[in-house]
Amino acid sequence: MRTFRRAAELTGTMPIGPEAEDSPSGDGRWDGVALTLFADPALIGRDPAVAAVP
Amino acid sequence: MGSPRLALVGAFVVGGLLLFAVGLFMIGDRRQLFTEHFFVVADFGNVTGVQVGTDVRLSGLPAGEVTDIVIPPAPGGRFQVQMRVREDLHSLVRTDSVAAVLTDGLLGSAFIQIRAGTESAPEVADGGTLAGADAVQVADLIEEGRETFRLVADEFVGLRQEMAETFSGLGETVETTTLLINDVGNDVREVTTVSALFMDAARGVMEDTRGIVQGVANGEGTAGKLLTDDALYTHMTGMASEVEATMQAVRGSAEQFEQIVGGLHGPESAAQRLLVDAGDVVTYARDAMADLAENTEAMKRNWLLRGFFSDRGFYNLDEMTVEEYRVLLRDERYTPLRIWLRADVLFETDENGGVTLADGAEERIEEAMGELLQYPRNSPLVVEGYATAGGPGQQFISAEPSRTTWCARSAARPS
Repeated sequence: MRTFRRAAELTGTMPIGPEAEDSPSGDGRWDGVALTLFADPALIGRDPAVAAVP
Repeated sequence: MGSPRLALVGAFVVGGLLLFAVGLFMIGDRRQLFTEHFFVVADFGNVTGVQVGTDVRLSGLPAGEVTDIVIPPAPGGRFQVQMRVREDLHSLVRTDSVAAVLTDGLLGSAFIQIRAGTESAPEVADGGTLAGADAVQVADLIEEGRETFRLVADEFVGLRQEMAETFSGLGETVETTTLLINDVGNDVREVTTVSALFMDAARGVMEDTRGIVQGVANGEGTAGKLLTDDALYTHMTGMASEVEATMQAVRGSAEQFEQIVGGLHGPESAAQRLLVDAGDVVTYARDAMADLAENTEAMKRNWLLRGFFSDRGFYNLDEMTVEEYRVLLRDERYTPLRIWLRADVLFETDENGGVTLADGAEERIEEAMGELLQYPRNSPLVVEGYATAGGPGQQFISAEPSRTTWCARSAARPS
């Protein structure tokens, strides 16, 4: 958080499990981590941009 | 015939013998050969003028003579002078008596003076030794006087040279003083000249002033009219009266204003009460703000009001379930931007079964975060953990340490 100057009150963690509807694996599951940024729709539009990093 | 002649010869011989005896007696008496005496010895370093037969005096009284002078055996020794002294003076010669070689006047013959001793000292024995004091020679005195004179002459010559130098310096000082006086005299003359010019100018100013005063006295000009015109004087007197009345009114107003201001400053004045009330209001406002902050914090943690605060960027993920979070992901008010990172790229398991960040994981995470830097930093960011291995409980637990490990490593890195 210090590296990217993220505020602690705006950053959190969430253990979800195996189901990942939008995961790039295509099977609705994921083993790993997803960084989810809740941005203003006026800036990026309603369609979520998905960046898959292997 | 022969008897008278023999008698005459006999009388001549007897007379001669008598004259010889009388002369011998007189000489012997003169040299005190027929009086009792004792001998003493004194040592001298210098016996100038002393010889056998030299008179010996005791406190100025003739007391005997020198009978022998013993020469010292080596240089530096002292002469031993033996003296014969009248016995009747023996009681005055003590062991502390001192014998000295003196002279009658500057050019008189030498003699030995014995100074009488003290009563505390015993009489010197016959053949005893007295302390000797060397004579003071006139030649030595003359030599010392000559040396003294030479020193005085040298001092006098040096003093004369110093006086000459002093007078020379004094002459230069007099010359310098003379030059300085001449310069000062020139300056004084210049000052005198300037003063004369100044006095002429001052005299002119005084004459002009006298003329102006005379003109005013004659009523000439504005000042003259002020002094001589009775109508103008009356008019100005009226104006002064009006000004005085105005000033009295202003003074009265000022006093009223001071009373008002004094009333405001009093301890029971309305202004003072107003200030006390204002202080109370500020105190109440501060307390109310503290209560409001506490209430706001409590409201943020309330699930029913979370949506309200989430619109303003407040979340409390600890109070959210996975399903609630999934609902949040599908909420149309938000646009979640997600970057997926695989577990086998990020983590590795050590021999103890612990999970740690793999090599190159940090660079991968920084690359992913770099994609998000283009959006405002006040956008909420959630790190979601996923796990497919094991049952549902194990999957949840596996998702938790992955997130924890990553957060711990990221926090440990220097900013």
